[in-house]
Amino acid sequence: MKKRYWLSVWLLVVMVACGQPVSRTPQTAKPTPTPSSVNAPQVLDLQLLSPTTGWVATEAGVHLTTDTGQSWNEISPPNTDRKQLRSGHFLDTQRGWLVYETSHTVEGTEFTVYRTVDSGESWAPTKIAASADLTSPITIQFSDAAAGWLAATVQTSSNFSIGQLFYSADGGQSWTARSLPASGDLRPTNSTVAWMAGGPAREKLYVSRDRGNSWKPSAVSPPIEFRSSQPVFWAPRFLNNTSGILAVGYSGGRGGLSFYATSDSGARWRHSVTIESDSQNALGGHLIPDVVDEKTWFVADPNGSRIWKTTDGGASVEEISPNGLPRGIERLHYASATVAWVYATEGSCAQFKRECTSIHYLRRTTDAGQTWSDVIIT
Amino acid sequence: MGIDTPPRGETIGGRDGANLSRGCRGVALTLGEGAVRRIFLLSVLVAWTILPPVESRGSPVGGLPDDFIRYGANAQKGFDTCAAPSTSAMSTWWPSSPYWDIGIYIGGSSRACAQPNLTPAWATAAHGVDGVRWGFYLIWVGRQAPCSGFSSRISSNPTTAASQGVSEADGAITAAYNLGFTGRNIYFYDLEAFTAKGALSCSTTTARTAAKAFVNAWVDRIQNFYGHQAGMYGSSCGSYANDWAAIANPPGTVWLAQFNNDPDVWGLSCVPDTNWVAASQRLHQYRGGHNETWGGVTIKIDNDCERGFITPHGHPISADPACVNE
Repeated sequence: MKKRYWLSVWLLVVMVACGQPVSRTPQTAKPTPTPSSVNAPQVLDLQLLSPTTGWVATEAGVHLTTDTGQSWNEISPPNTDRKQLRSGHFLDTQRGWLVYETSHTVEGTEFTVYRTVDSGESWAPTKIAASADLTSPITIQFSDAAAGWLAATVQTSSNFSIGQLFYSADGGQSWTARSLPASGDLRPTNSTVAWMAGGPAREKLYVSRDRGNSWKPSAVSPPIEFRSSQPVFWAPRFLNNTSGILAVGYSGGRGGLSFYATSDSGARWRHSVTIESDSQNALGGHLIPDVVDEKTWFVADPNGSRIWKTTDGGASVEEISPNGLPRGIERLHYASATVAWVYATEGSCAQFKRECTSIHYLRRTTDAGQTWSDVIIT
Repeated sequence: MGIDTPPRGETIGGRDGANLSRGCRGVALTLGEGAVRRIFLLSVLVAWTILPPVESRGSPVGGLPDDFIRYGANAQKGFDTCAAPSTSAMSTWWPSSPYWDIGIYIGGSSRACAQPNLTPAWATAAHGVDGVRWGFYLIWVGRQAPCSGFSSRISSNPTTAASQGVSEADGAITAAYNLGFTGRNIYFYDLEAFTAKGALSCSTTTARTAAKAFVNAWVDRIQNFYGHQAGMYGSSCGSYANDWAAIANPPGTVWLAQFNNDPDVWGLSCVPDTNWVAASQRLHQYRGGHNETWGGVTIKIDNDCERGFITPHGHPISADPACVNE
């Protein structure tokens, strides 16, 4: 009798355990290894200007294409150390700027900004001397032909994020030191307004409305499910002076990325859509967004497993399983709803902790991210 | 300057197991043997119920591996991050990346990043579960240079600065212990370049004098009072790191930041190779914040090369140290 009793109890326990409902947690998308292909050179900077035009800077120089990468023209400024290139920005195929870190001593850092108005046929240099110990990330952007914003990072430990801004009002001929609240992702809206997503984990958003003379924090209300998550900001993309799109990643527990829209120059941000990911990809919800226009946005999982796309401002979201999207995405540029470039770097070790190398990938898509093929700079 | 073993001192966190046999012999003289046995067994039962196991008392998560008891020399590559990565990220990077050790910010008034992952369980998982054996640089980031633009600053008065150094050391010890680092550790103080946030509001001489008093007190407290190893992190030039060599209590290991993309710990600006010359006295942070992807997992890191002490004792020193000879 006692044996039957305990057998019944055991069977009951087994039945209850086996009858538990299946977890509704979405299955983690397993990162698939990047298909082997052409190893790209290490890219120092790049920009896709249109579906057919763009430039790529490597240690081999700065190369411009105007025919979707079928042919390339080297446009590097003469007599420069190509390894010193830190950033570039072109308004179109004719007008562009490149910044080189030409000197770095204990006394400070020197930059040289080269500007061209003829697609790199000729370049004019301007030196900027900084007394601070500046390092990457270093970015240069021009909101128009006159207003330039050069942002650099003060060397500190990973706990701190201190930036230095240089502003030009004359197309890069002269530069003035201005303040930056942090180091990070800077994007100007026009000659007066710029946004900075910065901080050690890019957890803060700032705006300047006076050419970088002063900065104020900006905030958004996270979705309820991410109220306890750490935000990771991306500097917003403004389509004009008043309308813009802001992407904010969330990490810690559940990962995801939300898009917000503004129609009043960023005074208020309205939540549009949130894309959730179960990828526990370390810090910062490393989902990578890109904004094409006020309705068309993309998000890529940095492990190359998925792309999300909306073309109606978040009313609907399509998930794409890409073929050939590499792991370790560092840059994602959509020039249109279908054409994009991606640059990725992934490391691997042939033996435990030994013979470790990094592989670089530069690829493009012409079908919104469904398939990716190598960009070969010839 | 070669400091290979620390001076002995009080070991914080050492706790003996409960000795349940004390007093039983005296009791047996006045009570019958059966009663004594019953009392003894009852005492054991009560103690087993209310006291945590001996092996977990110093380690909140059920005990760390035996080698997690003291710092040791290392000669490998490491990295540091503002916030400790998730356990899954650490587990992925262990077999996939070239890195052996991670710098983690255990506390301090200037600590900037939230640390949702930094718990005793995380430390245990990072060194002792499923073959994962990360080493650590325990970093304390408190008051920064006197008269600087940082919101939390060392006093420009050397006497006050010294007392602040003591307080910071006490804070670091406590924080590490609460994370389960109960053995003999090396603690790095993160002291940034004096003018990283703008010009000083006092003379550089005043600031350096006070900073030296602070560092001296930090090292003295960590090494001579607690019996651990004290390290200092800073910009090789901007933090006036070479000042630390001439104080009464120099740090045993220096971790110098110079973002030259060259791992070598020697030949750094402003700190001659004649200081901190022993084989295990230098770390070099050679590249600043950037993303790296290993095993499909991306983390934003700074790169470090180690020829110095870390916690726990170091990994086998290769005849071809991974970062030094590259």
